[in-house]
Amino acid sequence: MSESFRLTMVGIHKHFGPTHALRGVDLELARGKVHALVGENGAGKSTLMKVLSGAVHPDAGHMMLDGEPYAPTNPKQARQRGVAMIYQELTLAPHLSVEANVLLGLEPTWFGFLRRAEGRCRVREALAVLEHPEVPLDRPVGELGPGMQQLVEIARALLLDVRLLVFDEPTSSLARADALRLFALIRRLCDRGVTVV
Amino acid sequence: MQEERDIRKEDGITGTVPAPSAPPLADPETPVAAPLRLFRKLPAMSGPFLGLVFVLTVAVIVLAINGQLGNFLTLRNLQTLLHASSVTGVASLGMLLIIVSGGIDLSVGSVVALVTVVAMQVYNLLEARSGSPLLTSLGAVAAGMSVGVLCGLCNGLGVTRLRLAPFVVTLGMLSIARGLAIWLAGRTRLAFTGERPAWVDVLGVARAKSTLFAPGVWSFLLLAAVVAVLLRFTILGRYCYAIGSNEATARLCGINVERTKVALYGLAGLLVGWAGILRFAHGTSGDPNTGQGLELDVIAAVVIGGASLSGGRGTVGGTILGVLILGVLENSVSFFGVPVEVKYILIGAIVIANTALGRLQRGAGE
Repeated sequence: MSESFRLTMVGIHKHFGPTHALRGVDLELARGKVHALVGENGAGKSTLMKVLSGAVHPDAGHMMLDGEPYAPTNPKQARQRGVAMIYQELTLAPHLSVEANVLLGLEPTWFGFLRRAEGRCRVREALAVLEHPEVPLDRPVGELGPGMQQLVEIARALLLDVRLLVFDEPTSSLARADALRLFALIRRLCDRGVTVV
Repeated sequence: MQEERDIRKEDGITGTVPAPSAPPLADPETPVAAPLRLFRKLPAMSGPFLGLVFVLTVAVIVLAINGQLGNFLTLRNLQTLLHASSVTGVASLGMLLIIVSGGIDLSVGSVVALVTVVAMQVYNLLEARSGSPLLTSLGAVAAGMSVGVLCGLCNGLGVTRLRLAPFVVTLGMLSIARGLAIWLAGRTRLAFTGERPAWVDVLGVARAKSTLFAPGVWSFLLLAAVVAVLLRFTILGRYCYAIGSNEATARLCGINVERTKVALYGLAGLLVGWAGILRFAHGTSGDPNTGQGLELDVIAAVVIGGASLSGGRGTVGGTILGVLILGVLENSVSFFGVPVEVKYILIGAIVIANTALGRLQRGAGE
């Protein structure tokens, strides 16, 4: 049954000292669908998503990703399995260019030298998939607006062949027009089979 | 492109995306006042370049008044100036790597002193035993530079394994290296016990007849080119900027931050080791008291060159200009009677003015 879902979480528990933040949570996320996690402040939404993205380790319970056991010990492992989280506070290197940010950690190299043409090509492809080829590749990310910065984060996730993308309050720092563009982009990602939370 | 076409085809089938392509995002540039726009259009290196022009102008005016301008604007003086700047220059390249990655190294001057002492001790020891000038010289240079690398690696391991602030670790190394240098030298300045090797004279002479500038100057320029290539075209350089810009992001993206930092401190140590060998040749001695305050000159050169002490920014070109600015000031004080207080005030003013200009260029919000 679980193989029909992109991800299943079963009986997830998490304590922070005396606080029982997650109490036996079960969650099933379908392929190519948008899911919204709704709850009051302190309900454990962020903790659950951090468990999903490898930032927090659950005390009990297990997860399956596309039918295979999934237990990331850190965000890097989660990203390598195709699970990426876009935080409210974006995780970008502001002094680096768009190209360098999208490729960060995945740079194609030859004996320690950057293969710049190949890297640039991969970034262009990712931005083309997002249908935003106008994003300036050489511009430092710190000089871009919040909408474009979020796009750079999503492009970085695409480079890892993302299967499950988690947004933490994605529209909170966006203008209305940028938020609408983000929703359209999320729909396009879902059409490619990406699961979005 | 193939992938892009496939996706659009897929969109067409599902009918979920009405527009064939997304509208472009709004221009992120916020409107700014006219003077700010002017600053932002200046090239990134304009700050250090303007600083150099300013210092040269002040030097020319002061020396014209003193009647020394004729002696200042000569090839001979340029050779002397560059020769005297080569130690600071080579050490600045190492400092650039560390500052770009968000660190700092206060131990440079003491490590240079330790390198001179170790090189001299090893040279005298090997000369007494082997007698071969080549092996003796190679042994002394290798020992001196190894000490530089070792100190750099210790700094890097202190920052990464002990998780201490670079300021604290390198402040400790400043004291340890100076203490070791004084101890190894027996509280005295060491000289060659036998004949001075030829390479020391070659490296120590400011005016080379056949190569225009002294070999130390050429070694600085060569190493500057190597560091520029490293920063711009290698994965280590990319990670250096990434860690300095946002260490948490670098970690999240799978970069081995600890290993990269140790490698950068080690490389910086290698450069400081070579700076120590140059100082050894310039002074023809193993001097445990040399290099006092050198770290501040080196940091000033890198910062004047446009690097940010909070990391993520800095270039080799800017650092060379920073070294030249300090070199012109030092040269004016040492050889042309410009009061030393003028040097200190100008260095301070340029550091502040250049940092402020850089901020304006990047936008006041940063």
